[in-house]
Amino acid sequence: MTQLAQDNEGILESQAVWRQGEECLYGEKGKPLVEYRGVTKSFGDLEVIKGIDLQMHAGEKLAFIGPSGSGKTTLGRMLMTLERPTSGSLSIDGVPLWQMQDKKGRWKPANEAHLRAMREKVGMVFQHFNLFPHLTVERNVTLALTSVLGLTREDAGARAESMLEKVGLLDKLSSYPSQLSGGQKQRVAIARALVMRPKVVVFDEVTSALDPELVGEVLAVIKEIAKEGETAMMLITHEMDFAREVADRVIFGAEGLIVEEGTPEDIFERPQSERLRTFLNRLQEVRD
Amino acid sequence: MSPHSSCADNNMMSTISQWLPYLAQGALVTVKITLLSGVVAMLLALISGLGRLSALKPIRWLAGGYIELFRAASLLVLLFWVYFALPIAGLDLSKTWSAVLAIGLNIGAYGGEIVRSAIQAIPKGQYEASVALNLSPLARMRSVILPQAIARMLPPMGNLWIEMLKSTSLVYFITMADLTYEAMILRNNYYTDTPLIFGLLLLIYYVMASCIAVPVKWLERKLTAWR
Ligand SMILES: Nc1ncnc2c1ncn2[C@@H]1O[C@H](COP(=O)(O)OP(=O)(O)OP(=O)(O)O)[C@@H](O)[C@H]1O
Ligand SMILES: [Mg+2]
Repeated sequence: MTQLAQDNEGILESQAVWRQGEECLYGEKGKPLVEYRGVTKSFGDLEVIKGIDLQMHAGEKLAFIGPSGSGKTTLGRMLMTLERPTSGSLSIDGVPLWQMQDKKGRWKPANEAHLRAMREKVGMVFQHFNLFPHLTVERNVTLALTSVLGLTREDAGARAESMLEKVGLLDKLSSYPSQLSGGQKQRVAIARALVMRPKVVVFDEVTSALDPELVGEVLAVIKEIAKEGETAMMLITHEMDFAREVADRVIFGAEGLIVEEGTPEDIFERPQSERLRTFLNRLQEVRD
Repeated sequence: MSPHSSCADNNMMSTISQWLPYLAQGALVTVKITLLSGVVAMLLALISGLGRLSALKPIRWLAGGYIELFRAASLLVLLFWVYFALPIAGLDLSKTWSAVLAIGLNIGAYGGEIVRSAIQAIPKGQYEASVALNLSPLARMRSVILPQAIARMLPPMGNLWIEMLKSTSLVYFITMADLTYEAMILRNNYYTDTPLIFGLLLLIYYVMASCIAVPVKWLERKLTAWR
């Protein structure tokens, strides 16, 4: 055997060992789609995320609950590349989001080109919709299709229409956001995010800016999309019934740490920690 | 009306019609300087306004320095400087280009502040949504931020254009034959008609200012139809 072949064999062997190790590490579900490893985030002196380890798998619906100020939004915004972690690593499909390797293989902070390549896999729906007010509903949904994916106006229009049909707003194509109700706005925002076919979408309290009677229509749309199953969802929410119904897994976080995680039954019927019990009880009181 | 006064009116009309060719000539110069300075000023405003918001410190400083310096400069002194001092430094500009450069630099600095504050007034969520949709930095600016910022800029920019139109009368001091200059010549020749001449001058500036204000208003309404 030549030296080169031996070397090759060595590399393959070590890769095989590494793969096994990886399987142990990740369990039967395989490689996660999204992985937070020891992620922290500080704003100045205020540490709001204090070390989060979290995995999300393809198509998984994850509900994130917790008291106000516990860092839920910050966690989602880091995945959407709107906030840079202070330390730790965050990766999508095994590729670090906030670091990249230069030609010589050295790690350095991600540049805009790397972030843009990674953002293809992520989408976000915001609490306050953030629709583009100067564009029609149709253009809100087609803008990124033409500008980012390079689709023609016709192809983008067709894709946008089928998406808007899903959220029940086909008749609003040529309306401007100012002419829509809050619920309709949020449904457009959902269509706008999903039409890009991201692998994971962050929904950040998408109903908390809505009048109570409009919450239902938005949650119904999300449930409908969740049923299709392809897109992983990080559902940051205060709607416990919704979390229970849609989520595969629920995470309860407080003060920048994950306190408890499990199936909806685990979390809502058999809360282990005092913090979670208090949190759920207080919500119950508010309701009653 | 008495026949006498009607006769005086006729006289007045015929005097004014004698002046009109001169005033029209001057007005043309005023319009030309306004338009050319306007183009220079708007370019400088866009560049310096965006520069103030750049991620790169040197660019921010450069843009900020330009705005601070030329906003504070007296336009008349700036005009003298460009017309009388630059030739000594080896740059000999015609009267027209001296005026265009001085006015453009001064008004551009004001415009830069308008551009900056209009862009900063766009809610952060608009930028964040455009990042979430993976728009390129250029597309974020072009398709999301600027269209909304321009709608906000229009009213103050319209005012700035009117300010600029009025300030072109300073070119009188480098003996350019603009509207004000022509009126001053007429005053020398028709001294007793001074009130009438300057009244007419004010009226013509007013009409020209309206020619800016009306289309700006129309454009603003058109660009903010979505509101
Ligand atoms: N840009 C920022 N600068 C400074 N502090 C910030 C910033 N963003 C968030 N914070 C702080 O970080 C903490 C966590 O905020 P975050 O919005 O992530 O909480 P949350 O769990 O989403 O809360 P809520 O349920 O009220 O939305 C809060 O104390 C907040 O004040
Ligand atoms: Mg939040």
